[in-house]
Amino acid sequence: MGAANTVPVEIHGLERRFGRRTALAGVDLEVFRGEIVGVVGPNGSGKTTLLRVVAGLLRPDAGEVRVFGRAPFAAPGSLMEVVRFAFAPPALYPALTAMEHLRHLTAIRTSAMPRVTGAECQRALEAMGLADRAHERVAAFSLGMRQRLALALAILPPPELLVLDEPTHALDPFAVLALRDVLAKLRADHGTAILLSSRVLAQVETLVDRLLVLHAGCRLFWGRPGALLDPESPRSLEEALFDRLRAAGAAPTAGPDRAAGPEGGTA
Amino acid sequence: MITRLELALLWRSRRPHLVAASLAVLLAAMLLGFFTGGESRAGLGGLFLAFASSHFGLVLVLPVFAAVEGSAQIAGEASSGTLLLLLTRPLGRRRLFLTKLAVAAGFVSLAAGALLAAAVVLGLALGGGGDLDLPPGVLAIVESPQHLGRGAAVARFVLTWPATSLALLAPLSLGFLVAAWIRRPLPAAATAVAIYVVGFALAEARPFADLRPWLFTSHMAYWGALFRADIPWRELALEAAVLLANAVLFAALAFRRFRLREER
Repeated sequence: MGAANTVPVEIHGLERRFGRRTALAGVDLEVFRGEIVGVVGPNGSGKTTLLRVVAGLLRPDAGEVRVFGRAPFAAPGSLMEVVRFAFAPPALYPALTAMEHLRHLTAIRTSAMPRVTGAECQRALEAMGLADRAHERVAAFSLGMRQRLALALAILPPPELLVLDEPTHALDPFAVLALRDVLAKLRADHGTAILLSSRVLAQVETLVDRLLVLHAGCRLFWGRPGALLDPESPRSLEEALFDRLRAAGAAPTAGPDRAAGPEGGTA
Repeated sequence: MITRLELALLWRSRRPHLVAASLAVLLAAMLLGFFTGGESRAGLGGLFLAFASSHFGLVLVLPVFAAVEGSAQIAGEASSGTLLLLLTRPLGRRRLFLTKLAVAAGFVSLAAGALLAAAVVLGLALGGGGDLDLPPGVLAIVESPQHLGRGAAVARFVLTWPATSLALLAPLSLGFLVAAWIRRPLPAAATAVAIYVVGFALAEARPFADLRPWLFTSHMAYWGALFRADIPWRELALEAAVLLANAVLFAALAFRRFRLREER
């Protein structure tokens, strides 16, 4: 699993519908080893659907999805040896403590995976600012603390691909900084590829190498965040994105052919 | 290990306490009825009290509980979102499904064992020792008077434990099957119980007599044959086979649905 010559995530022409509603329309995406890719878009743009297809929880209606060279829906169990996910909102067991979550869930492993020690669990909790609440039941945790615990769970043991759905949701600014440090360390130490989604570009713009902007299931932008900017107009990245979304909103029927551009390209 | 997680979750949940409390109330009500009812049967002895009071729990209460427990396993996790926690671990849906089924079956079996043990202890304590005499017609278990010595009767109670555990697998698997389709625990549990009750009614209804041998609900009290002086082993094995076949069929259908379904 996770052979050195396989690309962590390859998606070509992904389509997914829920009844008559199109959630994803012809989305292309690649995430390489050691790369951080952000998926940004407003509510209902298809971010979570995209991540759930990558996790093997949903089937694509059309197109091809490969995670380390394998179709995730067909063999999700073995893929999870090297891939970790954290979905929003964080779902945890209220009756268990933070440490029990880490101990029990990291114990679900195959013989090919490293054993996670108690010290590693403690370090993960420290990294996410939960060390002093390690032995409290999750029922007493705030949403932000649950999010921190879900993130601590996602980094144990260090994966080759980490997929995070709205990882900054409900986090305070200190926790967002801690998360950035954790992700940077994962990438530096383990070459982990990271795919994360957010509704707010400002929370991820300095973190990601490449950005996928979705609107109504279509790819509105794909490339380096700086390529969003118009060199002749000194505006912020957030404003540039808003302009594009507003333009797309003005033409809501824009299909994937019009929306998707080449790398670093525009709609 | 997923088994340790499942056991920890079961231990921390309220379910064991609720089951223990409801079975205790049932036993107390039954025993109270024997001693205070107009047609008191307390004179039949402690082992008869144990048999009669556990009978209702094993035939009526525990199957309903098993159906609810089965439906709560997957539907509860799907509803709370924690199913994603498990599905995104290197586990595989087969191992997850089988572990949940095994833990639930163990729990239901323990409940049946606890009910039997409590019934025997309370029956002997309140109704006195002595042999077990079953008059014909009582609870539709025997057609002619049966007499068992005290030791033999207690041994039959012990044998009843695995026999009822097997019988309870059918409603438990039915619960899993319903929960593989209905993602919310309360509607799933209500549906599973409704199907069980309808199956029970069909097993009793005269127009469906031809269907009766194949319905698991017709055989839920098959263990009663263990209390005959001469145990009809062949008949017992056939009924156990029907129950097991129903359980395997429900579990296989539930797994097929669970393996192929999407988690939105």
